[in-house]
Amino acid sequence: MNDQQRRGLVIGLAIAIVLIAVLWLMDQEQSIVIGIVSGSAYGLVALGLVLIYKSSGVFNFAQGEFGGVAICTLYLLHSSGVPYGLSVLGALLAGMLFGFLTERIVIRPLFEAPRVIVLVATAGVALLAIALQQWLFDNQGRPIARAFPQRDRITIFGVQVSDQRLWLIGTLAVLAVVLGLFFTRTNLGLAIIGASQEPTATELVGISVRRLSTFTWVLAALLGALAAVIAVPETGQFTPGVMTAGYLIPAFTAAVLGGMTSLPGAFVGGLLVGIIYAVASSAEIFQDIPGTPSTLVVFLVLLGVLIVRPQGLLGKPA
Amino acid sequence: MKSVRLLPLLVPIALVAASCGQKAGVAGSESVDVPVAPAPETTAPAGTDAPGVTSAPGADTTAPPDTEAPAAGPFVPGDGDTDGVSDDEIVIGIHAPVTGASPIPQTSFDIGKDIYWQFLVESAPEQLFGRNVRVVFRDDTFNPQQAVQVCREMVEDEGAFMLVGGGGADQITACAQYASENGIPYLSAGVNEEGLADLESYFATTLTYSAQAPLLMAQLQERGITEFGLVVFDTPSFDEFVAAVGSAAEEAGLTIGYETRISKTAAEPEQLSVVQALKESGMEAVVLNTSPVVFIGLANQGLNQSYTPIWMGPGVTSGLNAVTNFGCPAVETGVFLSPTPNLDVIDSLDPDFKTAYAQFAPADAPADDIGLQLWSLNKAIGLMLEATGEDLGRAAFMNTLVTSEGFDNGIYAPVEFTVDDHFGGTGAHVLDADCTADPKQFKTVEQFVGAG
Repeated sequence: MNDQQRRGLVIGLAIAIVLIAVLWLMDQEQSIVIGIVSGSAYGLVALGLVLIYKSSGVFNFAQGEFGGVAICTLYLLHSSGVPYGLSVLGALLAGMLFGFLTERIVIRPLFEAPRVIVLVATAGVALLAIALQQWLFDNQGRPIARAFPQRDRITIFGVQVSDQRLWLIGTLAVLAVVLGLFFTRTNLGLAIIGASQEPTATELVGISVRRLSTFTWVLAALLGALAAVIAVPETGQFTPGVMTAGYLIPAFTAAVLGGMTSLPGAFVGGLLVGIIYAVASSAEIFQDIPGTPSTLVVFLVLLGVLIVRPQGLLGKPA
Repeated sequence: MKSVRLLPLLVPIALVAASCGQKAGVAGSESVDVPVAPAPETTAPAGTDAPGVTSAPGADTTAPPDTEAPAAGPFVPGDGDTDGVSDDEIVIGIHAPVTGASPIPQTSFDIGKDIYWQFLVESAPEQLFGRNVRVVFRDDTFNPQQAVQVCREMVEDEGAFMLVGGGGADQITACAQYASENGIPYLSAGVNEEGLADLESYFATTLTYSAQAPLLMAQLQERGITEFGLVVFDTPSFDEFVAAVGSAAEEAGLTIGYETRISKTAAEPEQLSVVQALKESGMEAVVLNTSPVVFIGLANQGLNQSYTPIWMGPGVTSGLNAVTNFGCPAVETGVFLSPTPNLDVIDSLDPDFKTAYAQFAPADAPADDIGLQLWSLNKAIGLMLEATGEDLGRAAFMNTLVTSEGFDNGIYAPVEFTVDDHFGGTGAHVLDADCTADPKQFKTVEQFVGAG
């Protein structure tokens, strides 16, 4: 961890402590729990966004729909009588396959194109995936079963936390650490970072940048799929495009807040976004703001952080 | 370098900006009145009978519609008065959200929009003087600006004689304003009154949200509730509903223990925060006016927190079987008003409905509640067209609406308009979610409440 990251971590911790103190004084301690349990999903989607951004410098608008494909697959398999565990496995594989196809059909032909072109292309992939889901499900919602039935494993400040939520939080925490280590301690992880910063030099030392790209996109798709199959069943139902409509914008915000180049930053950003949403939705002082105060407050915080620290809380300067 | 730094900030802002604008088509649209003559002192022209209550075949009240001459009234024919009407066809344009945040099942809609007219052509072709009705449909994507766009298309490209709003308060308001500017009759189920009350060509065929507030209070009282929570979308269109619930609660001696507005795109933390606040306030019942998607989200968050209050609200969309289909078991405690009963009692009110579906719908498309909503609306419109007579024009049609004593299709509570009041609903049905039924559906627990 370099000085920059250490400073980011200190700032992040300071913000967290101040936030918790303020929430406590505002009688909003519930918002911490609500924020963490719901922000974990944003963090998991944000991990995938950061992964793609770190490796290729692309804002991946299709990240949500890697999960969208997975949740549809989970529904189709499980409602056809396939056991839940196998359905989850099938859903993850479907998400990864979608990531693989996206990379091979859309991203790879645009390898030399400006990043903004790739950004638009990923938006196209997301829209295509949503349209297919709408067609498949007559644009209607579907009930989705949860992996763990217990809804009140623990209760913190009056908020029940289910087994499904604990699974989500645990997965996010483990992945943030594992991926962080992967990119700093393993040859493959370092190769991916190298390919994103110096693609020509990476090729010269015998590493296939294109093969690394495929690996990264499939891994990002797996993260998106994981987020969907764990987080969405907690809400009991899904609608076509739910991952883009419900999770992508908060996840982008989380990724930017945490630092687009930092995997732990995505983790922290996700939780922060969840907490800010929860506070802005329930705290008395925000209730008189017309429109959607939660979105407004989230973006004000984001703006404030970026003015003070443009690279995000844990990110590296460009 | 600066642009690189700003990019991460701009992307999410652009995303939010793209998803906003939901209300933009509602406000700011100036209404231009249709040609309106001074209100007549009498409601019927000399030498003709005043049109009476026009009823569907089989309904109790009957008075022959005046088919000799168009009813006199405040509306005078303007340009394009007979657009969309020919000797053998009437064109009706319908818009509804089949995509977007609050979608209605498209297949059901596509099938249901034509069934009544097909049935009428075969069973009683004389009712529309030998004309067929051609229904044109457009998806408004739950977006007011899109609603105005598709309404314009239906009028200018498809030649629609009149427009019908299938759902969505902001979309209905936006399109009704466009219709009023152009003298085109516009009908919908009742939604808000603000923004619609001054529109000359707008007519609500069922109770508005505000008018349903006293009925909701009565339902709460029937269930022994004295204090309840109120959760309403934060669109300005629903301000009047909040006020109406406040007044109705006070009048009924009930207390609003917790009140909040929720965004149309409420994210999970927002839903969970609202549910937690409701739970902590100890509300045993919650009156809500949101989209079905947000209702189901709230109900599921409630279930996760072992909080299952009575979720109660005005019609129409949250009381659709699509909600029980994918919202059960969380929506089990849902009770909603509706202009129509559900399929469980329709045979006693209108046996033609299922017969017509069996005859005209595809074999794999059984009668459903979306079809029933459309059947009921079309049946009411059919009575209005019949009452207008053979010389059908937009002004004559609207004059008929405001001078007739009412229209009773046997499914809605009678629809009654006056020159000054275009909100014609007089009652509603009460639907209760039944997650134990197969398929999961709403069942009718009371009929024609508030209709006297």
